[in-house]
Amino acid sequence: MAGQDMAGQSMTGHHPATLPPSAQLDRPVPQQAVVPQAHPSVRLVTGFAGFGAGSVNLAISSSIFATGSGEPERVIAGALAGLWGAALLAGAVVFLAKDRPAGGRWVRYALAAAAVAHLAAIAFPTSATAGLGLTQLSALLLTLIIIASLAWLGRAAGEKRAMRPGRLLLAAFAGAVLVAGITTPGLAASTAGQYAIPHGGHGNLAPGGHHQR
Amino acid sequence: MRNSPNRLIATIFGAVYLLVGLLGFAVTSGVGFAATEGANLIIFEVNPLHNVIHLAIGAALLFAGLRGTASARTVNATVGAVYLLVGIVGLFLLNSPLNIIALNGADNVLHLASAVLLLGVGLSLDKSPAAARA
Repeated sequence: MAGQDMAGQSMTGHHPATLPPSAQLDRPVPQQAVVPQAHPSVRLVTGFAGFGAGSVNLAISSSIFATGSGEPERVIAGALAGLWGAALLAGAVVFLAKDRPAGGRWVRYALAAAAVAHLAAIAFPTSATAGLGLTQLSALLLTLIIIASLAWLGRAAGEKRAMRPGRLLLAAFAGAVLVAGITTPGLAASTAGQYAIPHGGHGNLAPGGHHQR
Repeated sequence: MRNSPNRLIATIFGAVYLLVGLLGFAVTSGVGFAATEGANLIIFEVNPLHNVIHLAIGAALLFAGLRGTASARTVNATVGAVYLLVGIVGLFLLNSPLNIIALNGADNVLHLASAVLLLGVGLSLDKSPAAARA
């Protein structure tokens, strides 16, 4: 797997940050250090998308349970979405902490199956998934981001490139905003999101947005 | 500090959250402490409880960022995890009396982006012994 190939890799060349940890202990930290991981920004965005996809799948699960009356198909669909959402959250934590995807090679098949399931839910809505088109689309996009990022990391496994911390954080911030921008509409379109009362929709007694209870 | 992504982000986010918390008090006079309908700070709705939370998180992040890499990693991951948990739990509590954070759409995007960024950087970066001393 892509992440496994790059786990713990040090970069080649003569930069101090490329040395193994034992050698780094004997050297002072350089003024212009780089993050000693290959493509750390892509790795971070993969984890971000995992958090987002997990959250959206949990919202799908809560929506299915909230709108149903206990039919077996709803219970199964809701449980699957909830378990998959929890697995995505846990998998994102493991991926970021251990630099490798949880589940090994099977994770790519599970992600592909999830993408197909989200696409099918959009194209052929059932009673369990009706009204969740935008939420499913959000989950599909986030799942595709994970698949694409893992594929990128796999293809770039041989490249030994790293980033300076400042540039890395700028790229990571852009990735976080992208993921949050896809996730939030998906969450808001779920049944749980529909229970939220828009702040501007009630009690706005004065222009400029000041409210009173 | 410039060599550690965790110290950098903790310091920057800490300063920003402190500033947002202080500015929030300037626009929330007359708003209930935990009101579900806050006041606008630019495009973000805040209430006094929101301001206190921003100040506390900002102080924790700034302190950890100035202290060292290990502290920054721990606080970044903790704050990110709590934010993500609040975001997920808030999905189910938005129409209940427990919805005391008065989130709106822009707030949700900001908090979710903060959560995944802090948690991701805290979990993923500065793991080597040399980085931990930066």
